[in-house]
Amino acid sequence: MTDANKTHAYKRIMVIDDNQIDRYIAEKTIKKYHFSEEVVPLESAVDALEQLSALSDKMEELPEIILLDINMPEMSGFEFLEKYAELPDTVTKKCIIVMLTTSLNEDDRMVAEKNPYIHQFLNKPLNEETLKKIRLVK
Amino acid sequence: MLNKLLLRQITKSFGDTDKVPEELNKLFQVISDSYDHYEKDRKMLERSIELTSKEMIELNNKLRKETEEESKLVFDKLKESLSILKDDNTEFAGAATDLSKLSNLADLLKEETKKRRVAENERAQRESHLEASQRIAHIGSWELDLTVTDNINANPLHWSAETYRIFGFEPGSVAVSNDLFFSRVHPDDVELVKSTVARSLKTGDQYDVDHRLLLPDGTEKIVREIAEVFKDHKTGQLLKMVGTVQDITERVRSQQDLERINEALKTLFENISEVYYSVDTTSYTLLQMSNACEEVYGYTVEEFKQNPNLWLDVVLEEDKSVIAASEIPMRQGRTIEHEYRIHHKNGEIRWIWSKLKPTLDPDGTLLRLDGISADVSKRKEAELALKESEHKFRSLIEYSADAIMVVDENSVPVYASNSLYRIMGYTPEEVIGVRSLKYIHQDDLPVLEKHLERVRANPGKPFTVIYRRIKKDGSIIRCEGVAINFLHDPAIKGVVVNFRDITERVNTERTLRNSESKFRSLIENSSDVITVADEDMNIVFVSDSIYRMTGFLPEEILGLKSMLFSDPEEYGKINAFIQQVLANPGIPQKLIYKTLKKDGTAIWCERVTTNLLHDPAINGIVSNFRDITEQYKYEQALRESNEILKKTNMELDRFVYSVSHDLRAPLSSMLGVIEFAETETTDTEMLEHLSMLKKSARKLDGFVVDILNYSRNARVDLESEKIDFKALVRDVVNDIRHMNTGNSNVQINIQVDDHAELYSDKARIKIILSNLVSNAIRYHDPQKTEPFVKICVYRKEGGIDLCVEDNGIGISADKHEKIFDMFYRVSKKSEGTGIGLYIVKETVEKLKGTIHLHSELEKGSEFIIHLPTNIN
Repeated sequence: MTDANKTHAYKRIMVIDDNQIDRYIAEKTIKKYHFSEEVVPLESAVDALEQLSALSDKMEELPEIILLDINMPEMSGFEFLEKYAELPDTVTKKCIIVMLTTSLNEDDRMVAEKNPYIHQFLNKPLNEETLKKIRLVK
Repeated sequence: MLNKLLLRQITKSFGDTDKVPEELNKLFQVISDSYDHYEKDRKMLERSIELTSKEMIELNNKLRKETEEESKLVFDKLKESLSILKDDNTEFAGAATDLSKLSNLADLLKEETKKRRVAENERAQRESHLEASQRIAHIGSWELDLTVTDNINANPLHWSAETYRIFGFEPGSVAVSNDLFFSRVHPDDVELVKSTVARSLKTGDQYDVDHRLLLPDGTEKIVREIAEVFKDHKTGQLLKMVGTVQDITERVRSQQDLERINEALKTLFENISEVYYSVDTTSYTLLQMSNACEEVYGYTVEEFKQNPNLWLDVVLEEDKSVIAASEIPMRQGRTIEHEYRIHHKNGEIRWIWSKLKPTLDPDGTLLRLDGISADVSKRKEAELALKESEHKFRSLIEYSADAIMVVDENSVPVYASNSLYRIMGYTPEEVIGVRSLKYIHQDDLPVLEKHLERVRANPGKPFTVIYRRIKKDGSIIRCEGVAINFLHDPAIKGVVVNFRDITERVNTERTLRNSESKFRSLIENSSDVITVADEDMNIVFVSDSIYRMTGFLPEEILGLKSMLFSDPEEYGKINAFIQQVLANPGIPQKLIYKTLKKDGTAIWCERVTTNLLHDPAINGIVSNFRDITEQYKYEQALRESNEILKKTNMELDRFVYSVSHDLRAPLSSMLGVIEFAETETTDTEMLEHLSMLKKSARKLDGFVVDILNYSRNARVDLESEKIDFKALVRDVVNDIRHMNTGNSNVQINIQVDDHAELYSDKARIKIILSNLVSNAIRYHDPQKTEPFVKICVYRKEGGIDLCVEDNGIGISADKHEKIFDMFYRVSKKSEGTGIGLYIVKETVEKLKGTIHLHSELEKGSEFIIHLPTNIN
């Protein structure tokens, strides 16, 4: 399964998660299954917003997929989405946001489903199965 | 031919007519003609003196004028001729003396003419008088000339103006004749008139006949004709017939009417059943009396005349006072009306109604009595009979309620109403005529005896008694009896007893009294205050408990507005409340408000008020007040603690949420690491360890999820939305597959009915379904070659059925009851937390559904959940 020469599904993927282990697993798993050439792990949603905003006129450098956690200190996933909506079209049109959370709360799921920027709502942990589901979105 | 008179004069003067000269002869002829003419006219005029008609007068006047003019002309001519003769004809000198004679003759004629004129004037005056009088008297006159021919019909007839009118003609408008006359005589009378006229003509006697006329327009008239025949006394020749005709229609008619009325009155007087009589009171004699007296009194008019006292003699002794009483008013001239009885001659007693009209002289002395008496026995009898029966009826009815009995002086029943049977069981026939005490309760006999004594002693007075009667069937009833002594009353001649069964009433009253006293004591002893207010909310009743509750005495509250003893702060609330009470008659309204005691301390009061103004038994607004100060305080405390609890609950909710997240997040990370580690090694021992780690972590995660679900189900309100079962089942299955990768050999069949429509709580249904499906997978039978889970959703009455069926290890029947208990696990091998089915059961109940289990060990299980369409 681990074939270094395999073509990648995506060029760049951003992982926003305050949990260091989860970020590590995500990076490892994505790399292992050649899901993306590059992984940009970010600890804070605030940092993520800053980066995305900075890259708004550099289409090539914008991530194609953003894996977003919900429960994070400083700024939660939903708070991030509110700010994200204010970013230039260049960003919001290119990026696909997938919510990746441990939450089994139906309310969270419903809020997420209603948000136009959320493409998927998936539960942790991130594994091969999860990646397969994301790939279906493409 | 010369006039005889002239001829005589000429002969006298000339000796012989032959000796008269030719010229003179001619002249004489003219004079003679004129004279003749005049003579003829005179005759006509003379005749017309007796006739009467305006035309005649006119004609005469005309004639007179003409004659006068003519005569004047003649005389002038004559004079002229004479003067010529005198002056020029000397040859005739010899005749001069004769001429003077002739002149004398002319003067004579002139004189004669003058006389005649005077006579004519007189006649004309007479005529006009006659005309007027004829007209006024409706008398016309006529004259028939009999000298002309022998045929009476051909003779000239003359009518006066009034005659024309009587016969229906305009005066002078037609030529009159005998035929014309008869054409107007009534055909039935023509013979009479003709014969009368003929007889008169024959005998020459005057006739006087009444006959009718029939005019063409149908008018009938009656006329009286009187006529006389004139004869030449010497020759006996008939000269004329002169008559009058008088219209007597009106006179005859009124006379006829009078006769008829008289006849009718006579008949009436003789045939009328009332007696009319007149008495001369000065001589006390009966002036007249109608024959009806024979019918009414049996005595003839003659007998009454012979005995002037007869009318009073026949009056019954006891009724004479009636007549005596009318003596004075009658003498005062007043008309009297009275009724009394008489002995008819045949021995019968008759009722007489009499009316008397006295006539007094100016001094006030009674002169005459005119009276009418009629037999009114029949009417009187009927009246009396009616009175009697009415009296009887009234006596019976006035005091009766149910059974009525009449007993005689010996207490023997002589009458009993049919209602007796209904009350006592005896028919009237069974009791009438027999005196018996068997109907009365032994113990009540003395009471009844006393009662009867009292009744006997007080005729006409009703007395009431309550006693017991024994019915025919032996049962005892309580009766209310009213007895009245009517023994003195000839219409009844008995004691009227009526009684009614009041057993029921007494019982009801007793019950009512009991319940009323109960109710009263309830009100009085109740800690509640009860008030009744009128439509203006003025208190008309207040229970004594008001003192205990508020310190006010009832007297202090009565008449006040019911809201006055409440806290002024609450007025607005109370006003609104009262409006609501008034607007909803019969519906109790509840209000809790603050009210003040007399000492000013506030209490909380629960008030229930019902508008019963429409209820005739109450006709008021009833309020119930209860001091709930203590209760209110508790409630207040409860509400407060509830609020706290709610807050705590919410905090707990948030806590559970974050805890579950905080618990799950590291677990999830752990699982992520384990799963990644598994992909990094091929060392079987290592893999086994990792698998054990993973299983353990999953179990812990499952546990957290279960607790989360449980707490969520308990606290979170139901939400309703349309459930897309296909999508829901798919999601659940995908999630489970993802979680249980190791059991992917279990076949999952899904059957969702397209018509299975439901509005329910999606999250909860998902919990139910995922629990059941994951259980089915977890406990699949590894011995079976084709393990499966079948998920079915289909429509079932009032909702849907959701079935999860498997061919897993199954559950033995003895454990069916327990599997829904919390923390129950079927065996030690069970991997679950023991909370899953408990959550399923709780959640189903929350959704108002039901759950059934069919399961057999080693065969499989089937959970059938019915969910109703409407979860609210």
